[in-house]
Amino acid sequence: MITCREATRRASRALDAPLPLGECLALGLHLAACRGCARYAGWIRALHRALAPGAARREHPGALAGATLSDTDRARLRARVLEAASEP
Amino acid sequence: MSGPGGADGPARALPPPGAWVDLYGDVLFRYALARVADEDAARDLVQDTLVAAVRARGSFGGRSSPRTWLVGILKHKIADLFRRRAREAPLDEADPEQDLFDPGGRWRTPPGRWRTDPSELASRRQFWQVLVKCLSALPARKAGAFALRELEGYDTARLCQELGVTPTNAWVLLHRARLGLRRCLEAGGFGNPAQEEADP
Repeated sequence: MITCREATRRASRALDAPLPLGECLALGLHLAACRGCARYAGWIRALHRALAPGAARREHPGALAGATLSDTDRARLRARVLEAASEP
Repeated sequence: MSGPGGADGPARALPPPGAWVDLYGDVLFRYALARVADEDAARDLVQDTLVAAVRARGSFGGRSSPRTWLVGILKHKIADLFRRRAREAPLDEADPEQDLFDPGGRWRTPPGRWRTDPSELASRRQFWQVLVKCLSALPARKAGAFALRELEGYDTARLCQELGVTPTNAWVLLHRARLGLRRCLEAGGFGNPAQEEADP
């Protein structure tokens, strides 16, 4: 039986690359017997899926709806843009 | 410069650069802030994006709206930032495994039951705010590797190329990022609360 530490390593790697068959089987056995690791593996997989580009709504409009540039920022940015626009 | 003439009319024409900050500044700022959680970095990203866009404005073809075009440039700038942060950070970072597992490799505190339905995570506004905070609290190499992998969708090969590490190193970074993030997200109210119930 692999340790929980090793099981979490493999569960993570399985999200990034195919796991060699032997390692995969040992992981499966561990997860079947260990609730804590099964929860951890489920959690990182859910996070992986939730964040996948295109798989989820990542614009999350309104999440930072209050954030705006200050007038000072605007003036500085505008000056920088116009400076760049005047470059040959 | 941005000649009219398209059947799409003004929506597809690029406004003069002097108007960009007022038209798109806040959109770009929020988009950047949602990913880097740091106002100074977000402002720098907006500036880099606008300057790059000004220089590339001759190549704006009107196939997308100016806003979409600018956000596309911003996405590249954000990926650059993650890459740079990850590359420049020191190599010897803390290993969260020490805190989470006992010397025998068992959980010190096993993860508890779900508090949030995982399939709902991405649509929860608060989740993103907590995630971005947790990401910025992680050491830079782990955060950068995680962001490139999970948010930008890089595969292992590309990640290794961008970060200049071996696949094994990349997987270790990602694993440690996930361990650290789970702990942080859990503290922020997402994930499995530990101690709720012990495993039999």
